[in-house]
Amino acid sequence: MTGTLLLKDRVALVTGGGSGLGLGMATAMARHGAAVVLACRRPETGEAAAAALRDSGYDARCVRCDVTSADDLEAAVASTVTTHGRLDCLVHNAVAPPGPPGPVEEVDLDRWEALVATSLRAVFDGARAAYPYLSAAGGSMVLMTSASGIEGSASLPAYAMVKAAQRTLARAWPSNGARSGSG
Amino acid sequence: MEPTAGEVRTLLVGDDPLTEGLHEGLVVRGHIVATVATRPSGDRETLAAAVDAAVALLGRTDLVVHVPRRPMDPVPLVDQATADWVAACEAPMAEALAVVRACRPHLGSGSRLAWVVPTVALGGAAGFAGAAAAAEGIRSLAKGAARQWGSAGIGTAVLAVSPEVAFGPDAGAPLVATTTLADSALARPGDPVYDLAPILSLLADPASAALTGATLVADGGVWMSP
Repeated sequence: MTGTLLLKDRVALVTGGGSGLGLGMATAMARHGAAVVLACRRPETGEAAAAALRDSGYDARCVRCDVTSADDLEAAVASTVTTHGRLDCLVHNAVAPPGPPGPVEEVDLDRWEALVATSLRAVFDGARAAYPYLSAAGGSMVLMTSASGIEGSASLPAYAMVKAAQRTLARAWPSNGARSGSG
Repeated sequence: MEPTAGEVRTLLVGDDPLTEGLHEGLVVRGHIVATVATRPSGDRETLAAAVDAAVALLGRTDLVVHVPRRPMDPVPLVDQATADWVAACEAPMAEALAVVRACRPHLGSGSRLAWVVPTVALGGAAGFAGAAAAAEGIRSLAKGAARQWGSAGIGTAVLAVSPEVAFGPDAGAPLVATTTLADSALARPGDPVYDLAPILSLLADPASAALTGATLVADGGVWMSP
């Protein structure tokens, strides 16, 4: 990486960071100088990803974290702050599978519960755990939402509900003193 | 009860003062109204049974109006426990899905399902973040249902009302003051009986059939977006 390191000395915690989009964002932040912590439900995946980042010269580690557990989220935040001394950015990227398309009146209760637990309750629990540190650092929380949260979805209406709620939560959180954004 | 052509048969789901005001206003407008309370249990099976019984009394359903539950006192997010969040955000959305599930079998061509939510869905709100997030989720539900049911001639809509109406004047007035830039154009938030129920009545009119999935803001002229 050449040029200015935009995130030098910053620390980011990324849920669902062991693969896919989460790992991509973590890698980009690491390239810009951030120390990244990959919060992963499957540590075998996250450990390998963190090791690959370290092999490339970046500061990366993995913590096991099931985002549907408030205790896991608190522990992931605490571990990050204990190791790095601060937290500048919490990226909530973890998501439950939206399930197959279907009639809105037949939304499966178990599927709904998994969606809200992973994409809403986990945002709330993660924000509460991270808030003191993000506030101290002037940091941000980033939520990964969807265009379906704006326009609704004929194919995945329950998923779209959760993503719409996320967007409003992102708008509401700053009025509680923290910066947040959705992307 | 044998339905008569021209009479609007309305099923009202909710159990708070706003619901009571809408009930009165709809009756004033000539609707035949049956009300189903969502509390205390709020579970799907109980709600479905109550909806079935109410529709049996009505004879048919032209309009369903759901007023989702919401917290009435502001609590900053950082002071909330997970259970508070679940009650404020997740429970109202689950309730809205349960209403969809229970009511869909009773909705035919020309009928409509409408929700009444606070305008905080549009801007977020300190102290009512969970309710705001839930309301935005329900707005998305209205859009998704509209897209799925449009070919069957079933419409949806959302009526966004002033926080002063949704949460009461003590909690709602400060919210309006802190989340908006402009005063109410009408200098009043909209009365459930005389201002809001008539709009719901319009939604039951076939002349409004082209309006579906949309949010109508009826807060006395505070929010004017888009």
